[in-house]
Amino acid sequence: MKLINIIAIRISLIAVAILAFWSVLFYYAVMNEVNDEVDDALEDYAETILIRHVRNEELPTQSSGSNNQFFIKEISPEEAMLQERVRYEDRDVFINEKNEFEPARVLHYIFENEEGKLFELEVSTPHIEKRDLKQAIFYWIIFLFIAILLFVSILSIWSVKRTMSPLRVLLKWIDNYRVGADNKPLNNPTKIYELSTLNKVVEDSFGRMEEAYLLQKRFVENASHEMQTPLAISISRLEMMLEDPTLSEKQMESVVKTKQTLDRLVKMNRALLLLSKIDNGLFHNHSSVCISEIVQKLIPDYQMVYAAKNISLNTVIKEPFYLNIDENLAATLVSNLIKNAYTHNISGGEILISTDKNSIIVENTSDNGELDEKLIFERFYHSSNSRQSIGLGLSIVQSICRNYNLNIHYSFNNGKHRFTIKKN
Amino acid sequence: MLLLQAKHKKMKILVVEDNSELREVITQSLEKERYLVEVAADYSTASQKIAEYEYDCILLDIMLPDGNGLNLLREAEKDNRHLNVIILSAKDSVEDKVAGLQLGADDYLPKPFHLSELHARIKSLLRRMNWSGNNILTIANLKINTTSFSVLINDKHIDLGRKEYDILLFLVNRKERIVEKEILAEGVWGDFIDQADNFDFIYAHIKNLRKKLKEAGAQVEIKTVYGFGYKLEVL
Repeated sequence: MKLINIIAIRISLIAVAILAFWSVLFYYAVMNEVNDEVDDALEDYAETILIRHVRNEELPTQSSGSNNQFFIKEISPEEAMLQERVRYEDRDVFINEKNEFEPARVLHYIFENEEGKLFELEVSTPHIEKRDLKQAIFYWIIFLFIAILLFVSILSIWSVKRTMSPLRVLLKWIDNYRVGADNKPLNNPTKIYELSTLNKVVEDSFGRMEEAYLLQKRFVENASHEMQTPLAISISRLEMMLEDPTLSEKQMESVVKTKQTLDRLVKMNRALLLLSKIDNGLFHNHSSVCISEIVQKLIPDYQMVYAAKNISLNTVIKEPFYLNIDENLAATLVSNLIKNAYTHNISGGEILISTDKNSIIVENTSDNGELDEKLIFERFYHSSNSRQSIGLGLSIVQSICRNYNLNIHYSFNNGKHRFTIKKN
Repeated sequence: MLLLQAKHKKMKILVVEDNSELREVITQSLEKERYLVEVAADYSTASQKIAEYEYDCILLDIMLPDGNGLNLLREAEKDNRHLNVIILSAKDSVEDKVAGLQLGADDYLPKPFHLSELHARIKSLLRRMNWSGNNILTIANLKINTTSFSVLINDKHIDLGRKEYDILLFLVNRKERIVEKEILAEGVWGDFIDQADNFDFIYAHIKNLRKKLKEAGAQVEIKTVYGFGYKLEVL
């Protein structure tokens, strides 16, 4: 959810609560004031009638055009005891002139005349219509609420847009940032302290990240380099030992096995070096290379090597697939994919390689079910039954793809692994 | 013939390598092959020796404590001298290789290498040097023409498949040495072969090759060494 929406929603919720509370308060305040005024008027009116009644003067006509009314009736002392002397109430009163009921404020007044008789005087005056008032207040409150909401929205959109534009620039920059790639410097001047601090913090931490990444890349490269000479020495010593004619078969076998293990280490080392070279972008000899052609060229060798596995291989070249890439890397890419398809296959399985203008697909029957797409490209990842492999082949494939802006995707269906490499 | 040559006049090789252990191993192995070996542990020693003496072959490490080995090639180039150089480098980079070969190095061998590979490279370099243009390898009654890819036994042409020829050449270049199956496979088929779990396909080729050699009466034999390798022996 966008910041703007959150601000608008929060402010409107608070506004609803405040306005609801305020409208209730407002209503009662208004009613109170109105009642006060009306009660004063009623009292004056009641007093006039009372005085006249007591003096036995002529009482005013029922209503002198003001819709005011009064009634006087005699009551017993018992009745009078039950009531307060002065009492106000709100009730609908029938108004003769209008011939209808109207809400009215009513004053009951109990008094005694000279003869000691008790009377109740009831005066009433039409009253403001409370329902109307409530409705009016309600509508106005809603109007006010919408006005506030509109105002708040416009204000927050405007202010967020204005003040948050450096934040948007920063977010876009972070989103486009790729570690190890050639990133543009962040150009985002702002007067807002928090945002300029954020800029600085982000830039600093990205810088540190970049440094760590470089160090790690260098480390792999340097470590691999440093291992070459000791490996060369050990292998050479074993080789010289093998030339000794006095060695027994058993001794020779164990020397050879040791040497083979070292050879594996050499291969691992070379693969790591290759990987870090690809990641460091040390391949520059790009030319237009036909991947389909490389596939055709490599297949016979693989068929020979894996003849024992009896795997049937089919290629479908719908259209030649050209890439602008270093030729050696292209061969590495293709041979790693084919090798993979052979080694993780069952005896008598199938391999299907197809290319079209924009992609190459390598599909093969699987020896162990679906693999985890997140893991297979990781360095030194081994599926359960392939200790023979170094575990860097697919990492190298992925690195090459990343460097040449290719999209590599793994999927599994009908018992087949499928690797798709597509131009982006 | 190479052996004869070596007996006539010992080939002189300079090993320029800063790592003492590796230097020692290489020296030992070369001396076993009856080369005359001299060593230089750093750039200045190497530069001095090269200026004073002639060497048939120089094994040159690029990264030396006091300078870049490639500069030795540059110096020689200035003096209009050609050195027969095989670069040994821990930095298996295309740039280094290209730079080295452009400066007149004859070969480039990335570390770590097999001694058998080193010997094969030295031999082929010395051969090129002594019979420039005429690339005929002779061993017993076997002649291999490396430009026309043809093999003659007792001056009679024998027909070999492409891979059979490659295997024979690989073994001849490493004659009297044990060549492991894996190394043979890599040398003939390429690096990608490393993950093959079964080297039966080599055996099929070796079998054919043996049969053809025997039928033509070759005085060399490919021997199987304890099931893990092969060795080409002169009968």
